[in-house]
Amino acid sequence: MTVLEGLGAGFMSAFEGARFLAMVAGVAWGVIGGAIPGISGAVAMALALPFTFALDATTALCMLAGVWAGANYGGSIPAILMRIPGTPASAACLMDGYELTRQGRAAKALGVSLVCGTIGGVASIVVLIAMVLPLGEVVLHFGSPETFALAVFALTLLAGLAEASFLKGLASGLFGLLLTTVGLDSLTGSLRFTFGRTELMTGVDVVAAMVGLFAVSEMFHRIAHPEDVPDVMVGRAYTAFPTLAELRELWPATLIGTIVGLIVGVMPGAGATASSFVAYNEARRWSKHPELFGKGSMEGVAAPETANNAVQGGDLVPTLALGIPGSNSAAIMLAALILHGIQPGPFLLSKHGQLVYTLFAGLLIVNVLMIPVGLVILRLCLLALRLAPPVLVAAVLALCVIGTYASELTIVNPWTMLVFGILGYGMRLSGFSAAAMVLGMVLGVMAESELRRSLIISHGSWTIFLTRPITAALLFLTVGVLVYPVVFGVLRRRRARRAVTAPPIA
Amino acid sequence: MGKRSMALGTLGGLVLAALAVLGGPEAAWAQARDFPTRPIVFVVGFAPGGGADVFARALADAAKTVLPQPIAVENRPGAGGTAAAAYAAGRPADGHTILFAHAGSSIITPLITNQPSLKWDAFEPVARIHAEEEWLLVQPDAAWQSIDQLVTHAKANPKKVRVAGSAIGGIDSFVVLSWKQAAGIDVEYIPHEGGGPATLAFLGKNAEVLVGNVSEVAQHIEAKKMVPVAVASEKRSPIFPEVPTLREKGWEVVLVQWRSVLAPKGTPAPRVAALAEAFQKAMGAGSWKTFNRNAKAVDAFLGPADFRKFLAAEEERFMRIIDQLGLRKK
Amino acid sequence: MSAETGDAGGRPGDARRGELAIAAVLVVLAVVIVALARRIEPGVLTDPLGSRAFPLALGAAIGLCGLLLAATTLAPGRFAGGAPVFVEDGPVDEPAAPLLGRLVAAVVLTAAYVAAFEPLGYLLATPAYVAAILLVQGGSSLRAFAAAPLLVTGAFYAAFRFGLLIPVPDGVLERWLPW
Repeated sequence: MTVLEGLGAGFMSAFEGARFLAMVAGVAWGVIGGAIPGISGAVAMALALPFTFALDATTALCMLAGVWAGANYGGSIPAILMRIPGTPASAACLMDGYELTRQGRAAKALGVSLVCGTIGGVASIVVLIAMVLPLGEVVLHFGSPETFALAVFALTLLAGLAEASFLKGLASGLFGLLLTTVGLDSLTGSLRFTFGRTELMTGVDVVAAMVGLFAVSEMFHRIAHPEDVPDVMVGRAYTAFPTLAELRELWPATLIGTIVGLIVGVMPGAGATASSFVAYNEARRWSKHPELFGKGSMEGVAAPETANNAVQGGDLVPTLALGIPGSNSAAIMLAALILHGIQPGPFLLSKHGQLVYTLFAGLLIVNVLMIPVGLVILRLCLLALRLAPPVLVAAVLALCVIGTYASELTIVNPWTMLVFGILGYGMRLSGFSAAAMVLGMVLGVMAESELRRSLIISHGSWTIFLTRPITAALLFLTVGVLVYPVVFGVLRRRRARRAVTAPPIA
Repeated sequence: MGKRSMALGTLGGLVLAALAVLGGPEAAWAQARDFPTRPIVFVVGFAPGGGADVFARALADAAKTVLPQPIAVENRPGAGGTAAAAYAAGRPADGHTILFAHAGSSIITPLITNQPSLKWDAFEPVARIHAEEEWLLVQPDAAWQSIDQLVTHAKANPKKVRVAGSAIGGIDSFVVLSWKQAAGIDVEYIPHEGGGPATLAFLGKNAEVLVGNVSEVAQHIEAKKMVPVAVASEKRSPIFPEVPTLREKGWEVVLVQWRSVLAPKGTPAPRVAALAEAFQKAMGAGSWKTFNRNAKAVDAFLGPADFRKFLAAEEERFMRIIDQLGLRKK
Repeated sequence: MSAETGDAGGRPGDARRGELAIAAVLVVLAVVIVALARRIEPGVLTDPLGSRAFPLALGAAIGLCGLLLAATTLAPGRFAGGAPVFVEDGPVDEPAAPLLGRLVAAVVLTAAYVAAFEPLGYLLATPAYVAAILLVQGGSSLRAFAAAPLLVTGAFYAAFRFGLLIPVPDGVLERWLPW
């Protein structure tokens, strides 16, 4: 069976019976779940899992693929409209997305997020289909040193995330990294910063902290500053699709997002959130208008949104090629397979080829389905914005508490959220960066555990980071990225000084 | 109830007090009916998608045909499974709440962190369901292809042999730590976030040895990407009978990943018995058999009384290992 | 951790004092982190870097950020050359003084809501909380004040309990609810 034949049969099969309906339901479920603060994509998928028992294995997988894709997109709706990231992966897009909303361009930002997310999702699935068969084992080249190097590379973003001051942004990021060391150190078994509390043994929940840092602090801000609520212009704010001309301008950002999403997705231990931050940073670096980033750049929405959807394809490479989940979301796909009596592993494709091809077709379909389904749910979300501002604030605060509680059914998470809400408000007043802190919290485990694991692998020798080609390349790239603007800045300043000393021409 | 109202905030304390008075006759009402009258909540202390979660869901699905009410899996991950234990301990002991338990969540973690209130004996044992073997595996192109050769090599090259496995506290980390001590070898253990990442690291040739659950490695053995050299069970495995146990090599390392069900302390014995019987019947269901076969696990059913004896013996064994390794905090 | 000192709307001297206070907070935080990190007990296993290295390095780096922040505030010209080029415009000016009373009330109410969430139950705690937050903000019509708490509570309950099948805590109502 060639790939194309398989895919053709897969498409036929994907439209059989109730499968298409299950996919529509899955996408809708995902978009709604993703839009609720505290419910991440993996949680939304886990909640859908019991419903898939009544379906056959193929339909169940297609539906879960829909939830996954939908949640990737759903998180950006509240991020853009209210500065509330629905999922951690949408924290990168809120920086410019919410700025656009303040400028009255919410509709366009939502349209860009939807279309670019779809492009990223479809592109990554196409690459997955082309790659998973011959190149599935490429994932084995990414070990601990490579993941560590990627984390270091992503951390260079701290240099740019600073909203008001570089030093405060850096300090925020460092504190975020530190927060990931709280709890049981999985490498040695020692307890760090737990103060004798079992609640802290598993560390600080990133999702709850992020909901606090952004959503709760934003609601506190609105309570303290009732005059500072942007006018979303609900009347006209239905999604405005980007025109072809606009898409042409956004294509570099979209391409960067796709590539970053795929690479980061394949890497074990790195996920959608890391990819969206890296894509944001790279899009700014290569943009013709880097000065607009943070002040309402469409590219700043397009790149992270493309990337976090493109991660799906990368995550599925180890999942389908080796039966080892590439992320929490992928783990739930595998759980669904096991529960339907199918053993995932290196023989999945040869033993259950039809199912895998139908899943591929389903993945393409759900990514496209995201546009109509996303549009409908978007309108419902916009209706909520018509509520009187005080009612909206009260409802969002209540939703944050329920959402963070629901993700792990523990009251510890709402408490975490509240603490970080207060902290986030203080940071906002004093010029620290919540985005930098979330970045640190997302990259901390990658940076520390993988570094230490690399050193165990190398028997304590640091040369491991220079002898492994991918690792060395990433680290050299990091140095270059850090040195280049400084050198460039010095040169420019020197040139400017020379221009001043020289007599003005005309 | 008293403790709960103490913890209550300023909001609506009076409402609570007024409503709490009405709580009395309900208990009698619940007992008058047959069991179960509501869906049973199966509390699992691990995230969706993991081995514990999949086990619980498969068991719940198989029990559907046996019990008049469904079993709903509730994931309450955190603190090595003890967050869920703490929650379940506070639920009404009426049989409608059950708790997932394995050695890690109900013996090892409570012992290491010194939380006797979350250990297995703070609950009612319901049933042990199945068990998975723990394997030691080597690279197919390695110069050593048996456990003896491996140990000889490790003795000649201290600290050079790297073993990939999951985080400290799990059964597989215990297999390696006890084996290391029993065989008198100095190998490096590389802990990973779970069995999946450890398998990936091993397949990527970042370690010489892998320790893992049979369900996670069986397919890779079949694909000739890894070679089993020993199993940490009491007897040789039916899947690879030519592979020796660690025990027959003279190292007393017998650790299997058993999975089981507990109920809150005080759950009436007839209900515990009813649940155990239901699970035993459920294990005859086709869906369970398929699941177990795919997981390469073996049914290891023990009813409430036998399971309690088993747990007591198991705790003693683990206590010995933990003390030998110096894992317990004073 | 961060003091709410940055009164960006004030005079330049105030802003400078605010920055110095922030720098001081960072240094104190760093000292605390380093002190706590030095007390981390070694675990069962060992690795080349160990459990303390990362927290210690981060604590030191945060302290360095604080010191540099103080230095750049005290002598702005001297460090401008060394400071990276990413420094953007100053803080966005706050349009008005925050309504501190409302803010504190909102924080306290949210804490009370979280505390009551499990023991009292979602269905009783939520309407009280929503109503209280509306009251704090003021300006709601009587109609909104009467309807919003019930509608918000009911809508979320329906969505989470029956849509997502999440066992929202019923608290004291547990025995009376038919599901």
